[in-house]
Order: sequence, then structure tokens, then C-alpha cells
Amino acid sequence: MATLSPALALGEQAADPNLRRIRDLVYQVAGIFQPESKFYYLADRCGRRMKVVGIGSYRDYLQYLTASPYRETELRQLLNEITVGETCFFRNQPQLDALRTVVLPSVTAEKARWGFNHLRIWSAGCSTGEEPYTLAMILMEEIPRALKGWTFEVVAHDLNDRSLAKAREATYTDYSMRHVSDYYRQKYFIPRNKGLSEVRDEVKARVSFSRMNLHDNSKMLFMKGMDIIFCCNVLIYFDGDSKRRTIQHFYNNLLPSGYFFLGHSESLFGVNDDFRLVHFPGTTGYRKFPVKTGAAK
Amino acid sequence: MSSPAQFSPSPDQRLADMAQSAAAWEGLLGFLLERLGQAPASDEWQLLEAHFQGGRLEDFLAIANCHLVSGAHAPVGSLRQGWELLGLDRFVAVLLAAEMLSWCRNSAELSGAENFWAHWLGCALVSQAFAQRLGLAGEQAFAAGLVHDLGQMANARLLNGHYAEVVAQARNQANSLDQSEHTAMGFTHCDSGALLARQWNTPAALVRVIEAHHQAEFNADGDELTAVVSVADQLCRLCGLGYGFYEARQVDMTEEAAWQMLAQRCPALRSFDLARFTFEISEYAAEARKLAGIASTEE
Repeated sequence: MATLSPALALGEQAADPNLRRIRDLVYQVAGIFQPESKFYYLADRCGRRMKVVGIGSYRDYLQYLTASPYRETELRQLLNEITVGETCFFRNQPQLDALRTVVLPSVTAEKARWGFNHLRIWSAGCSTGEEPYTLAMILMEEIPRALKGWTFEVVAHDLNDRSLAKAREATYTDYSMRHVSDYYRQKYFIPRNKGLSEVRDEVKARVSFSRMNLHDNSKMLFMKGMDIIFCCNVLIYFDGDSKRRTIQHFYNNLLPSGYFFLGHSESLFGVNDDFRLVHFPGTTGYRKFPVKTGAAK
Repeated sequence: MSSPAQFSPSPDQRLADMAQSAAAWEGLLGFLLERLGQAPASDEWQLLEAHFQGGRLEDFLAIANCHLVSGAHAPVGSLRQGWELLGLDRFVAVLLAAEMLSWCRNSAELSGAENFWAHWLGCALVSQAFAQRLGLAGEQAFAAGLVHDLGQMANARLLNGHYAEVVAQARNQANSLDQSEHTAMGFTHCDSGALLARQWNTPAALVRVIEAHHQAEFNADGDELTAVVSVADQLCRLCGLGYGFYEARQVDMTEEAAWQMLAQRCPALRSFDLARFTFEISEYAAEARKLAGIASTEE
């Protein structure tokens, strides 16, 4: 039952204990969680991999993921399938709403107490640039409001040179643009040939791209003074030790009361005890201790 | 916007007026609240079967057959089967859920009342799951989560349209509803809900939950059931099961008094994966919204 249709077989998939164990394995190893309502998606992604490796049941595939000599490679392939197609502008709207309505007012209020008026946002693992440009556009929208009198920069890093070249080129297909509203399209993009859209120069000017390996301890040490860090769907590929080390760098690089955001359904449970889980409407994030009770409620 | 002064002559008097008006509340809400934990008497079956007809019966069956509400069992096709298959406590709670949903569907006083119902049912499911993970009684937590916001029904039904203004104010300001209630009326749904719950002889443990689920302090010997529902209420409102509007806020659950009290009393909370539990709530949210007839907002 490798490729079950979503409508027909949701109950059947949810009831399959082996698929549930694959879900738990993915959460344990990569910290990414698939709720039962998304089991059709997990089943579909497992199904693709099962077809490639010639396995016909979830039970055998679970065995392959946990006990075969190819288990690590296969788990990476499965994670690739689960996260494929994630990159686009405005990818996680509840997270962006939380940034605008809660996080920015909270961070600026905290920094203003100390006389600062500059924000540093870090997009760590920025891929082809959609995330940092989205962040820049949201912050630019706040210039007349929450960021009146403030300056800001978005620092964006990735390991892949080809992704960075694409990010600097800043020209995107409709697929990347699928969540961009007409308002943002008209204000921050220029239509190009073949249905492509290019980010306007004033947005590009807010984002600085460079190559960096998040495993590189010496470089990570010099990323101090961040207010907000986004690192979405990157850490799922790290093993336990490197993940712990990288998260600790993020924690150290954040200013007090700074925020750290992961991808949708990613978690730091069992990886880091310093960050505090914070709930926002429709999403979660992490905050650096100390947190003042009711600071931005 | 209404000010407390408009709820004449005073919040206390207004609550007293509400208590008096509640005697004329149509339907079986009060009857079912009193029966939580009690078997219907043999002569009460006729009353139940006469009342649960048509759409109300359909709602009962849909809720009773939701696997998250009742677990795996043979399909429920009638009230009597529900009684046999669900057990007494869950049977009465499901009747109550159907009665509340029926009220929401027909409510002229509260626009988007189905969102409120989805929150109530979601809170029941999350309270149950949370209680069970902590080693506490899930069944009672389900009932407590279901009725915790009884006062919102009371406010909508008995305040002659004023409550819609209060909800609109909370929506427009992206504020929490209890804060808007207190500002506008001088009392909250906790006060009005507890008043009605007492009047309808609701079990005392549930009255405490209704009255105190928003309280800021939980002392060390506090009420675990109320704390469980308080946490579940917060989680639901932040995980897609709010009242149908955006509440611009953040919550560090470990700083909440209810959480801290439970952490002292329940060892399981010390190693509890709250992030994962939060992700699991999307499951409850999807089911509660489906039962309420609300279109999914997910892609």
C-alpha cells in the first residue's frame, strides 16, 4: 500500500502502526513532526521512496530505514522528499504574522530601553533567497509603524553557491511567487519575460548574501548581535551533535530576549534546554532567556 | 463601544438579572449539565429522544462517531447505542456537545458561534489528552474542557446583543476575549458561567473550572483539573482553535501559573514534549472544525 489516495485512505494510513513509527523516527532524528491529518502526505512521500528502493510495505520500509546498511542515506532521501518544494515567498504565514504583530513590537520595545534603533535579522540556510526577501519586505512595510526611526539589515547565508547566485539574481517563477499577494507583487516586484518576477532593487539592498557553512564553528562565533534568527528546514539534515552545537551558536549569537524560528513542525525538544518555547497564534518559536512575564502579551 | 456603565445598573446586578433570565433558557442545556456523571432516569429517555431529533441527532451521531471523541468502537446509530457504546460519562458529554452545537448553529446573538463551539470541543479533546499524559483523569478533563466557556453562551444569550459588541471589540483589537469582557462589562464569562453552572447544579469540580480557568494564580495545593483546562485553553487559542479571530500575543507556557503548579504536582510534565503536543493539536483542530462545519484554513 505504497501510494494510497488521501481521500480514501486517511483512516487506514493513520491506523498503520508502521507509518506511525516512521513518523516518530523522522521526529526523533530530524525534529520534524507529521500530524495524523498529514499522514497522507507522509504516506505519499514514503511511497515515492519505497518505489525507488523496491519495497512494498511500510513495515519493510521501516526495517530498511532502521536496520539496513543504507539506513542513513535512505533517511536523508526521505527527508528530502518530505521537505521538497518548501521554498517560496511567504512560506509560513502564521510565523510572519507573529513576526509583525508580536515579535517586532517586543524586540523594538526591549532594544529601545537601551537606546538602540537598529535590527539584525539572520536567515540561516536561505537557499535561493525567498525567505530573506520576504523578511525584508515585511520589515519595510513596518517602517511607517513599528520600525519608524529604525534601521535594519537582513543577513542571509547558505552553503550552496548555485543557490546564492540565484538568490542574488532575485528572479523567480510563479511557483516561488504562489503565496505573494497582489499588493506585494505590485510594490516589491518587477514583471519580467516568461512569467518571471524580479525583486525590486530597494528590497535587494536590504539583504546581504554570503556563503557560510553552519558547521563552521569559527565563522559561527562571529555572528553576534542578532535580534531574530530564522533557520527553517535546515537542521533536519544535521546529526545530533552538530545540531546541538549549531543551536548553541544560534543561542549565543542572539541578543537577550531575541527570537529563533524553525520551519513548520520542527522542534528543539531534546536538542537544547536554553531556548524557551513560545507560542504565537498558529505557530511556535523560541526565545532566549531571560524572558519577562507578559512582556508582549 | 459599550462601557461597564451601559450594563446597568452594575455588573453584580447584571449577573443577578442573567441568573433570573436563565430559568427560561430553552433546550436541555441545564438538564444535561446536571446529568454530567449521572445516568438518565428511565423516564428521562423519552425526553432525550424527543429532543434529539433531526439535525440535533445528526450532530450527536457525528460527534459520537468521531474517533478522537470516543475512540474506536462500533458505529453509533442511535441515542441508545451511544449510551451502550460510549459509557455514561462520555454519552452525556456528547449529548451536551451536540446541544451546544445546536445552540451555536441557531444563535442569532453571536456571529461565527461555530468557531466558539470548535474551541469548546477542541479544548475538551486537548484537556483530555493533556490530562492523560500527566496521569490524570481524562474523562473528567474532557467534560471540563467542553463546558469551561459556558459563560460565553450565557453572555451571548442573556445580554441582549451587547455581547456581540464585546466580541467585535476583541476581534478589532486582536485582544483576548476575557480582557475585553472585563473592560466592557465589569465581569467575564468566568463569572457568568459559574453563576449559571451553579444554578443548574453542575458538578462542583466543573463549576471551579468554569469560574477559575483564567485565574492568574494557582497555589501549590490548587486544583489540577482547572490548571489542565487553563493550559489546554491557551494552547487551543494559539493553535488554530480560537474564537475565529486573531489574538496578537505570545505565551511562554512554562511561565504560566497553571503550568508551574502542574509541574510541581505531575512528574510527567518535567519531560513533556510540549512542541510535539502542540503539533498534535492540529489534529484536534481539524476534527473540531470539521464537526462544527467550518471550512479548513489549511492548504
